[in-house]
Amino acid sequence: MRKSLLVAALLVLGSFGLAQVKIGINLELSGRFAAIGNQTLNGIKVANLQTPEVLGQKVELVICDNETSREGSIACAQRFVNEGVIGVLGAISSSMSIPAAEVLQDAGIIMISTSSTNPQTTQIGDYIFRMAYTDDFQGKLAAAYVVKDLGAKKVAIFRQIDDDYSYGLAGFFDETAKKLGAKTLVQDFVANTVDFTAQLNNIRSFKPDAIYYSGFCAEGAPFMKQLREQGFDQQVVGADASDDPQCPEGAGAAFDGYIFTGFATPNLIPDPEAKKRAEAFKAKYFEVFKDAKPGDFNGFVLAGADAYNVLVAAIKAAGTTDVKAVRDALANIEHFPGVSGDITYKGTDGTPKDRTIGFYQYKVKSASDWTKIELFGKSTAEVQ
Amino acid sequence: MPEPLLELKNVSAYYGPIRALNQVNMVLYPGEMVCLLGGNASGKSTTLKTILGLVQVGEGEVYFRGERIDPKPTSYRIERGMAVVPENRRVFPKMTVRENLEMGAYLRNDPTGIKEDLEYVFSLFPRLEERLNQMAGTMSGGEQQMLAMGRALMSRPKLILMDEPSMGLAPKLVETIFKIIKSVNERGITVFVVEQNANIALSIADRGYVLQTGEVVLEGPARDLLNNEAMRKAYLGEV
Amino acid sequence: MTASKLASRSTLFSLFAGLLFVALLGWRIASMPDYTFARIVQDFLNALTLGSLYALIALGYTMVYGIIRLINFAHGEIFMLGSYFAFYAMTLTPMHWGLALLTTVLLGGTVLLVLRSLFNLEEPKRTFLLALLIFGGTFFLLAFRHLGWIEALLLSMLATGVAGVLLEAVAYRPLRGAPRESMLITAIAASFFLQNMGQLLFGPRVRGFNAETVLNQPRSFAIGEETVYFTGILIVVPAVTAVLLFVLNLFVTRTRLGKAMRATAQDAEVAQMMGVNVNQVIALTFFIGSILAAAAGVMYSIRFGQIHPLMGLMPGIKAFTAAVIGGIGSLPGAVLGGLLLGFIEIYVVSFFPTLSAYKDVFAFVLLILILLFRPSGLVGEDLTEKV
Repeated sequence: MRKSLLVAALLVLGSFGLAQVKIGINLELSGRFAAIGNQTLNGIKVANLQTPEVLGQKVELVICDNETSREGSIACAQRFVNEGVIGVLGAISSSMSIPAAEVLQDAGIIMISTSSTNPQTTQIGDYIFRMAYTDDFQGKLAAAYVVKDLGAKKVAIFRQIDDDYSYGLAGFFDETAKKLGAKTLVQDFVANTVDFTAQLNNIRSFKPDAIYYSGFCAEGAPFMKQLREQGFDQQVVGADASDDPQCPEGAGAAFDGYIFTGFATPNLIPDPEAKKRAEAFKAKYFEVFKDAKPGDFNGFVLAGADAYNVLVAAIKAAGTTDVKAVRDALANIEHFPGVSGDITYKGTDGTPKDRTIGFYQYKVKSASDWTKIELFGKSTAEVQ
Repeated sequence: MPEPLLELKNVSAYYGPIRALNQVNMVLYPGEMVCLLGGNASGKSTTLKTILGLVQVGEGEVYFRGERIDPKPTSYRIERGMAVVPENRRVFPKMTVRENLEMGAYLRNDPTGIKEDLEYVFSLFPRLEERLNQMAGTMSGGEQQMLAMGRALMSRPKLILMDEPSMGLAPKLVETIFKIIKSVNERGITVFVVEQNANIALSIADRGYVLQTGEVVLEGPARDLLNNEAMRKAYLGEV
Repeated sequence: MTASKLASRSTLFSLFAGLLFVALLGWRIASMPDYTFARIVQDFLNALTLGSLYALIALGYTMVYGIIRLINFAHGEIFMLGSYFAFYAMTLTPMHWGLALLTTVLLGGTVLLVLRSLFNLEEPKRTFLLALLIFGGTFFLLAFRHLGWIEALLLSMLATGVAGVLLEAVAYRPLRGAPRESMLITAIAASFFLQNMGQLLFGPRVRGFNAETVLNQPRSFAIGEETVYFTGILIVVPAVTAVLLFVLNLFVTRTRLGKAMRATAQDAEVAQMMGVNVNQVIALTFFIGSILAAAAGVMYSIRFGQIHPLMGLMPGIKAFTAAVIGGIGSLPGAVLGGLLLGFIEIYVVSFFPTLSAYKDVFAFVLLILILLFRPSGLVGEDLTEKV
C-alpha cells in the first residue's frame, strides 16, 4: 500500500516536471555562420530569461547545432519531430532553413526562422514562419540605393551559387538594377572559396562603378582583401549576411567603408514605441552578458528574441499547447510588440508585414578596432 | 674448444599461436661455416629471423659473443657484428650499387676502414665496381646476389647470415657464389648459410644442422651428413 | 620505369597539356576581345601564387607517404595547427611572465624530449646545451617580445613538427603491423579528432590572421596602359618551395639519415637489417612533413587572411589530389601536382566563368582520370601496391 502510494506521488510530482513547454532551437552554432548563430541564440536566451513560463508551465529550450550544414539542419528537425516540441526557432540561413522547413511542415510542427530571407522558406507551408523580411525587398532596396543614390551605371555582382539566400538575393538585386537602367555582370563562387583572383580578373574590363556582394563573411573576408589588393577601389555594398563580426575581424581595413543592409537595430526602427522596447532589451542583454562587446549585439539578437517572444505569445493566446491551435493563433497575430519592431502575421504567408531594413557602414581601422555605423532604415512597406 | 660465437639454447619461436621453432639448440664457433638445411616450411628462415631479432623468442635464449641478445633490438645485434644477406637478395631497388653498399656500412663511422672494405668487396666482385652508379633494381639476379653479399661485408661483420643464396640462380653462378662464400669464410668471418641446395652447401661447410617442422633432426660435420643414409634419401637425392 | 621512359612520359604529358592550354588561351582571346595581354599575365600570376601554395602543402603529404606508405589524412589538420600556433604566437605575446614560464616548461619540455629521441642526443652535455637553448630562448621570446610573423613561423614550424611526431607515436605507430586499411581508418579518425579538438580549444569562429607583413602588401606593375597586381606571396612561396625541394633532395641523397629514410621507404625490414632504427626514421619523416605543413599553413593564412579549425579540410583534400596527380611519394611530383591544381582552378574560372562553381570538379575529375589510366601519377614511381 505504502509503496504504490509512493509511486503515485512520484508520478504526480514527475508529471509537473513533465509539464514543460518544449521549444526546439535549430541554429548554426559552429561552422561558417557560427558567429551569427550564437548571437541569435543569445537573443533567445535573454528573451527566455524575461519570459521563462507560459500557461503556468516552464519553457524548456532544446538546443541543436546544425553545424552550418543542410544535413545537420535536417537531423535537428528530425530530432525535434521525435521529441515532440511545439515549435522550432531557427535556422539562420535559408539554405539550412528550407530543408528543415520541409521536415517540420510534414510533421505539423511550427517553425520560425529567425533570419531566413529567401521567399521560398515560408512558401513551404502554413506551419512555417519567419522573423525577417524577404530578399525581394532587400535586393530591391539595395539596388535602388546603389543605382539611384550612389549613381552606379555598372555593377558587378558576386554571388555564392550553392547558397539559396545568396543566389536568390543576387537575382533580385540584378533584376531591379537592370530595371533601373544599370548594366550588371555576375560572378559566381561556392562555399569555402578562398581565392577570388580569377573572378576579379574577369570583371576588370567591365570597369564597374560599384560591387554588390550577396554572400557570407567566411568568403567575404578573403574576397574583400583580394579585391583591394588587386587594385579595385569601388564602393562595395553587401547584405545582411555581412552583419557579422567575422567580416571586419577577418579582413581588417579592407572592409573600411563597406556598406550593407541588415536587420534593424533599435536606433533605426522608425516606430518610437518599438524603439523604446529595443533599447530596453539591449540594456537587458548587456546586463546578462556582461563581457559582451558592442559588436556582439545586432539585429540578429533582436530577431532571436522576437521569434521566442512571438511563439510564447501565440501559445498564450491559444490557451493550449496543442500545436495546431498554437499555429492558428500565431498566424493571426497582429501588431505584436516585438523588440525588432511591430509584428503582424495576419494575412501573410508567414513573413511579417512592414519590417525595417537597416543600412549600415563599417568603419575599420584594423581587425581589432572597428565600428558599425547606422546610416538609416527603410520599411518594406515603402517598396513596391 | 673456443667460446661459441653464436648459441641458441632451447629456442622456441611462435607466429601467433603457431609454433615455428621447437626447442632448437645450435652453436657456431668463430671462423666456422655452418649450414642450415631442411625442406619448405621447416623453420629455416624463422631461425635466421630469430637470430636477427625480427622474430621474438618465445622460450629459450640466444647468445652472441657471450652476451644474451634475444631481448635486444635488431640494430644492436648488427652493431655487435652480425650482417645478413636476405632471401631473394632484397637490395634497395631505387638506390645505386654504391648507395646499397653504403647502407651496409650504415652503423660505421670510420671512413678509412670503409674504404678498405669497399676495395675488398670490389676484389671479390669486380662487376660491382663496374656498375657503381647503376640502379640496383635493374641488375640481374646474380648481380643482385653479389651486391647483397657485398653489402653485408661492408659492415665488417663477425658473423654473416645468408638466406638461400642459391635461389633462382643458374648452377654455374651458384658454384661461383659459393666459392666466394668459402673465400670470405677463410678470411675469418663466420658464415651461417640457410640452404635448400644441400649438396653444394655441405660441400663447402664445416658443419650442418637439419631442421624439420621446427626441430633439429640431424646435426654433425658436413662430411658425415653427406654420407648419412637418411640425408641421402630425403635431401641429397633431390636436386 | 627507367629514367628515360619517365622523362619521355612526362615530356609527352607536358607537351599535351601545353598545347591544350595554348589552344584554350587562343580561343579565349578570340572570343573575348577584352582579354588583353595584361589580363593574361594577371591570370598567370594568380595561378602561380595559388599553385605554389598547394605545392607546399602537397610536399609534406607526399613525403610521409613516400616513407611509410600512409596517406596521412590528418595532414590538413597539422596544417591548421601550424596556422594556429603562429596565430597565438603573434597575438598572445608578449605574455605575462607566469604564463610564459608555464608555456615554456610544457612546450619546451615536450620539444626537448622529442628532439632528443629524434636525433639521438643521448650525451648529457649536448642535451643540457639544447635544453638551455630551448627553455631560455622560448621564455625570452614569449615573455619579452611581440613576435613578428617570421619568428612566429619558425616557432610554429618547430612546435608543429613535434606535434606531428606525437601524432605518429600515438595514432600510427601502434598500428605498424596491422593491415593497411587500419592505418587509413586511423588517419581519417585522427583528422576528425583534431578538427573537433580544434573547435573545442580554439573556438568554432573564423578568426582573422592579420599579419601586416611585407608578404601581403599589394604590389603592381604596368603593362601598357593596364596594371597587373600581385603580392609578395607570389615571390616568396615559390622561392621557399624551391629551396625546400632542393634542401630536402640534398638531405635524402647526401645525408646518412636521409639515405636511411630512402632505404626504409623501399624495404623497411631490410633497412632494419642494416641497423637502421626504423622508429626513428619514421618519426623524423613526420617531423619534416609536419614542419612543411606548418610552413604551408602560415603562408596560406597570411595570403587569405583567416583561420578556423576546419580550414585544413579542403586544402588537405587538394594537397592529396595534387600529390596523387603528380605521383604520390615523389617530391617533384607533389610540386608539379600543386602547380597544376592552382592553374586549373584559376583558368577554369577565367576561361569558363559560368562554370566557376565547378572549378574544383575539374581537379577531381583529373584525379579520377589519373587513377584510372596512370595511377603512378605524372612523374611517379611504379606502384606495386595501390592503397
